[in-house]
Amino acid sequence: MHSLPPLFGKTLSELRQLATEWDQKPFVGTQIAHGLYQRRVSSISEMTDLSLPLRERLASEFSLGLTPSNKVDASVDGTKKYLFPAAGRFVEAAYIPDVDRKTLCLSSQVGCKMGCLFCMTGKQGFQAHLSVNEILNQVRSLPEGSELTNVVYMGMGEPLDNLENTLKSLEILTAEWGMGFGVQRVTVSSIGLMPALETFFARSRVRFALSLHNPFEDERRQLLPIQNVHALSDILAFLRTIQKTDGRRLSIEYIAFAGVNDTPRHVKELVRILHGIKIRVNLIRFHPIPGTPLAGSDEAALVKMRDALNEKGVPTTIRRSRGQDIYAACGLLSTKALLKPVAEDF
Amino acid sequence: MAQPLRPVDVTRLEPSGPDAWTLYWKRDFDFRPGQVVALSIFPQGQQRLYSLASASGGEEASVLFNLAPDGWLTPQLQAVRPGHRIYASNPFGSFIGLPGPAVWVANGTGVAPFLSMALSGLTEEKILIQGARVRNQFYGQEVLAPLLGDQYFRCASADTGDGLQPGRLTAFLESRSWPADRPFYLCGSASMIVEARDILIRRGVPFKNILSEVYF
Repeated sequence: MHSLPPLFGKTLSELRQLATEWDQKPFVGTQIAHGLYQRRVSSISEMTDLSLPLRERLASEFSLGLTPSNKVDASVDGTKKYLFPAAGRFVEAAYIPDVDRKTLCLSSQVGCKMGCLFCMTGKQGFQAHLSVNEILNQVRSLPEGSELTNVVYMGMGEPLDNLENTLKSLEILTAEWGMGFGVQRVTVSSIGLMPALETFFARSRVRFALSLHNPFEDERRQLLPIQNVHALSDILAFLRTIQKTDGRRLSIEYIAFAGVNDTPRHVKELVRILHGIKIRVNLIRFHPIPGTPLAGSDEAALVKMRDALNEKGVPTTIRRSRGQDIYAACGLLSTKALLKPVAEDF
Repeated sequence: MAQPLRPVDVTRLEPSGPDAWTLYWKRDFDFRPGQVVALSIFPQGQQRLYSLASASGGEEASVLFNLAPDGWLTPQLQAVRPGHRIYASNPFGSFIGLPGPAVWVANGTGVAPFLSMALSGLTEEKILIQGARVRNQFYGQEVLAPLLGDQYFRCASADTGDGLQPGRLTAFLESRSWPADRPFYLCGSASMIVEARDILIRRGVPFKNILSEVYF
């Protein structure tokens, strides 16, 4: 852990402000950003385009802020699950190599407040928001970080519940002065928190995936408690409206549960509620978690659902399961065994 | 969407326990017990959601909140006085109390929707299990105890006596058998909800009979 505040994770405007406060020209902030995010320096002393006194002052008041992972599990399919120290605890990040892309699934919180029935992270309750530094450290300190093509915010936590840090991390991740990922290479997945979703669309250009999981509101709230206050119909109405002026790609995350949300009735309702929205559905296999009352749909049901949706004009694919043998698949991320219990009295 | 807000005039602010307050304003809208409102100090300001804690037919509407000293809203709510103007949305949400049997489970200010349900007359065949650390943290107990009688269980994790059930509410849930055919309403922190839900499912309650509202 660093005793000094981290430099890595500051936005360009924050760095330029720092430069100004230190009686430097604002472009010095740009030079620091260049060193941090493009040249990928591993120490402040490597920022040799800065004067020596400035480097010394930076080093006396800031750490660079990079924290290596302290554990990795490797799957037979090439997926790796990294454990990073963060917020005095741990978070997981899954590196998923494929033929045409190398994706990092990163975390935005330690634990989660949303309490979704099917999610392992939710089992540990909420522990902490990740800082911008801690979110982006998962990208920068990943051993394969320089090879990454895609980043998805689909690990532990609800990104829109940590909105400001998520937005700042997206700014740094996608800016030309920052880490330079194309906005079409970054996806944020959310269960749909309002009005945070509006702010997300107003202040970022990356792709968005909605965790939907059931098209019937009365049934969805059995899986996702948030449905009780942020109704799916409101979220879809917003997406339908925003899509008229916002060309970014939208998708639906849909974990298929046997007999719960994979029937022809659900297909019919999905088609109905998605009418008028250009959106792709990703069907996801469910890997049971301890104590869950849910079972994943079998392969035949998944294929039937995919084909039925495609036939009705809703582009649908079945997401390939990755890293199942190391519990890196969707909904399985949890560092619960490594965490102290939450000191909460009820 | 951000909820449209309109001005409301505060009528009362009363302490409800250590660091907990109930804020009242004149009610000029209809709602169903269990619904929430968005509140803000400013007409276009940041909003937070609170369950209504008052009777659906009462003259005043109210919310119960914990003072979060570093929070951006509750210190301002705690500073308002009768006559001050704040901003509230119309009620919304589907965590709604109904007549008939049900088990209510709450911790912290998560008792608010059940206060509203009880004050609105939905007490028949209801059981309330409330969890807290010590006796003065059972928000609303003065109102709930006479309304629910022996169907009201206060589980104290660090207190005894005075009719308290010793231990956490999750221990209480573990210690009893529960009818699988009645709805369970859980409201409070994510940790409590996840733990309580797991216990109920393990004890045979179908997940379809468990309705949760997470406070965050």
